[in-house]
Amino acid sequence: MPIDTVLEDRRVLDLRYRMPISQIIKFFEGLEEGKVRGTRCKECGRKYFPPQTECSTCMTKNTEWFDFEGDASLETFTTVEVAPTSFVNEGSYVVAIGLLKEGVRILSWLNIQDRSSIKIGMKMKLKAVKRKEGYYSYEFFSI
Amino acid sequence: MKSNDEKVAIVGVGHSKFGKRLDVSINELGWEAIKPALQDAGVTQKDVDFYSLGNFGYWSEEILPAVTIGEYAGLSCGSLKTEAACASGSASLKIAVDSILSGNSEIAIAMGIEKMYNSPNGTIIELIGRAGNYFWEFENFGMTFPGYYALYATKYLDAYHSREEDLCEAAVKAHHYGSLNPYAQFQKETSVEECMKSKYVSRPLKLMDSSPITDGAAAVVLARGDVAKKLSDTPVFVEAQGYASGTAYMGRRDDYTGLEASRRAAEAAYRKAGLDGAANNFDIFEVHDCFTIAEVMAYEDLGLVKKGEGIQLLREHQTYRDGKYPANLDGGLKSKGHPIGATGISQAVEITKQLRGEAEKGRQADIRKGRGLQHNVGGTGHYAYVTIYSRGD
Repeated sequence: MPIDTVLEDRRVLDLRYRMPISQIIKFFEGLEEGKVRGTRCKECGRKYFPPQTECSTCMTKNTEWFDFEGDASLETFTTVEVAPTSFVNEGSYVVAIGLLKEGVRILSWLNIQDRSSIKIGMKMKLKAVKRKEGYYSYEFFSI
Repeated sequence: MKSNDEKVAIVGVGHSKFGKRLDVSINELGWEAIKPALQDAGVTQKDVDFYSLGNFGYWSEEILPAVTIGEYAGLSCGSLKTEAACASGSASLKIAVDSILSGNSEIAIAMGIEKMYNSPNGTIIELIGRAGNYFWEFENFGMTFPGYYALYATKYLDAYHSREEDLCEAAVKAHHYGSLNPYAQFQKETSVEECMKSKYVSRPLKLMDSSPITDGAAAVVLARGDVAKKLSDTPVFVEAQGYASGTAYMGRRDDYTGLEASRRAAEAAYRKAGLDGAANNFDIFEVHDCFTIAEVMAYEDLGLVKKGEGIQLLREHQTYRDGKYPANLDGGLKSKGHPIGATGISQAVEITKQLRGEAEKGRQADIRKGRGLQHNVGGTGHYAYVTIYSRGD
């Protein structure tokens, strides 16, 4: 096989986005207070996660924030063994989708010691967490 | 009954070799597909009224590949790039077909290309993992493309009491037909044992459950039906296209055992074509098998079998060439390769070859009904396109 000749790019792009969160700042404030929040339309009752402050059905901003109690059951999960470049220092991690008591499904990491014990339908608790990098997030925990 | 000038047909096809193609630039790779497509159609660049390019990009340097490739290929008519993730090729086909149906073009080219190896593997995994819901899934949780399909695989295997070995049957079939396709990235057979021994990328999916990183290009020349009849003795008509979008956020999916967008796209395609579904109307299927689980779900979402019975089709070899529903006789995404934006057009090329009776030895389906079905999914059911092709005889 001949060796292919490539020109290594001399230009390097550091790609880092600025993501506006003004409308959902209460979500991030909630994490710092230990709460995971969604929004609810006061007119049709629809619950939103990811949260949005305007109901796209009713077309009004008549929405309110509510805190999840955190009780959830496991819908499905995977252990990511081959991570993207920006997550290679995490090792492998378990991503789960949980159905919350409030009827909303959320995707997040599942924090569990014994991965062989993970079973679809198992009970979990969704909690706000402070990540080792110092910022706030949310994770499921086994009970 | 539509008259010929209300129809669109494929009159020329071109396909590059798929694989790690660091021997060519993106423009040179595009030309590898455009040149044979023009020659096959018997037209030149000046006959082309419009062209579209399915491409995801990001991992290769050109931001405007439709124009850089067009320039290399001598195309100067109107153009654009389409993005529908892994269904960008089908979106490209849609736009080109629409340009003819709207009366704005007589002849158009729909192509697709991806040049993934221009970036390192880690960057590719990163970029494709971001193609879901970046803010709520990637930013904090590092989702990957295999990760998304693995969420479906976990639920499917649990719900229908199936095993990882069952999924590997899809890889075995893909590699069998890939071994017969000179354009395929992997031209060698595999076994369930070899598949089971491969490393996990996102449990329960292993490397051998996964389509590879691929460079590749494909192109089709389309013509209005009356023009197509003059250009070709074997036009392949684009009879109908159905499309639908799912949610980006995985938590909003109602089901993790099939893709709801695929089901809606299929229903729309059958309705537009006036067909009663998939089971009795097609000689050949191209289904979106970016992962083995995706092929199983495709059988069910298209309505070939009931939910939970997709694995049974594989076990009984019913989607092999001599089975009831021949599927992916080109090796599929899994073995032929999956150059994201090119895949939808590559599937169109394959169905055209099959309906013309021009597939390579050992992988030509028996064509009796004169119809083929293409199922092309973008992301994990974020986009879905189902296209029905017919010889029109």
